Parts: sequence; C-alpha cells; structure tokens
Amino acid sequence: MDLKSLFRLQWDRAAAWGLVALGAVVIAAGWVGVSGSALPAEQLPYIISAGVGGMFLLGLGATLWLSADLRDEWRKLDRIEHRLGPIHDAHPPAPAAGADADERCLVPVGEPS
Amino acid sequence: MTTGGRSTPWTGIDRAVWAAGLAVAAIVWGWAWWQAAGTAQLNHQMPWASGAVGAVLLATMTHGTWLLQARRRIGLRRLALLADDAGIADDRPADAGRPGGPLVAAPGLRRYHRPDCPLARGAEFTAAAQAAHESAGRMPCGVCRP
Repeated sequence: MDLKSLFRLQWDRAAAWGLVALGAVVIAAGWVGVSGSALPAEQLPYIISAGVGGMFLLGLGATLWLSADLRDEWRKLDRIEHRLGPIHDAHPPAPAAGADADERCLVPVGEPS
Repeated sequence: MTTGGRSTPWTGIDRAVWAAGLAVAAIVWGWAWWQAAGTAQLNHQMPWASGAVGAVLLATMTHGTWLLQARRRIGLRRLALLADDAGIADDRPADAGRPGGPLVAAPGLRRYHRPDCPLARGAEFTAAAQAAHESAGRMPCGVCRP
C-alpha cells in the first residue's frame, strides 16, 4: 500500500499524529519565548498562546486518534451485524425497556434513523 | 448513522455539538490571549489567563462528550447484537446448553459453544463435554457464554 492510499484510509490517525506533532512544536516555541523574557507580564502571553494552544492541539490529536479506534469498532459491529442478519431475521430481537430503535442501533446501516 | 456512505457512531447533532464546543473554546482562548498580550500589568492579565484555562476545560469536556457518546452507542449496539435480550437465546430448547450438557466445537478452533449459539449454527461441529473441550485447550465462546 502506497503512502497516498494509507493517508486516505487512515486520514484520522494521520491528522492525529500531525496535530500532536504541531502541538509539541507550539509548546516548544512557547518555552523558547518564555525563557527569553525576564518579566512575568511578558511571559504570560506566551503561556496563554503557546502553552494553552499546544495543549488544545494535543487534546484534539488525542481525540482524533481515539475516534479512529471507535470508528473501527463500529465498522466491526457492522460486519458482525451483516453476518448475524439472517439469524436476527428469523429471531427478531425483543425491544429493550426504555430504549428506542435508534438508541439500540437496530436501524440498518444506510437507512434514515 | 452514515457519513459519505460510511457508518460511524456519531449523528449530525453530535458533530454539530462537537464543532460548536471547539469553536467557542477557540474563540475564548484567542480573545484571552489577545487581551493578555495587550497589557503589561500582571494583575490585568491574570483574569484572561483564567479565561484561557476555562477554554481548555470546555474543549476537554467537548472531546469527552464526543468520545463517551460513541462509547455508549457502541455498547448499546453490542448488547442489541450479542446479548441474551437480542432474542437469540430465548427460544433455545429446554435442554440446550444446560449445565453439564454437551457443548460443540470443531478441530482447530479455539472456542467451544452451546449447540444453539448463532456462531455455531450451520457448522459441522462435534459435541463433547465441557471438560473435554477445556482439556483440548479451548475457551468458552464470548457470545453464548457456555
């Protein structure tokens, strides 16, 4: 598999790595700015922009990475549902108390929920 | 819940809430930085620093809601597909899978099943006692939980 196909299929993980790397660079740049200033009033804007902004980017990257794992798990359930489909057709599931069809995710993939 | 023909655990509302939360956090953070950078007095900067920390907390809550929503939907879907209340196990014969009853597996497979397990239906499995399966190194199926 070439790099282009890999990025297309794993765009979320590629973006996650990119954001984490960018966040690390931003935090390092903030550290350079803070270390070059003697006054706290000069340092604080660096902390707010680079320190907080870097954390923002790291958090976004981590969320994208975890989202990719959840998306994979969801697609795996798609495959299991596809294989169990004939069995479920023969034995329709009983509705669970307090959960509607959408919450129980029984709406077939591709149909409006 | 599909996006561009691909199935995902998030709805359009989830995406809108996530994007809105991140947008508000980014605006608050940018505004706090702009205000803090515009003054040289530390006591005037501190409230804006607090605002920036608040923006990060908002972003964290938005990410957490996004991930937990998907986690919850995956758990519910797994229950609907595989748990006993899916109705698969409710109509099993009275003697099927009773404690001490025969359990089925095939040579080369690592798991043994109840005879009425959906993962065992239609396959040419042979029945044996649970002890025989376990001595062959097999583990119980996670779906029918013999």
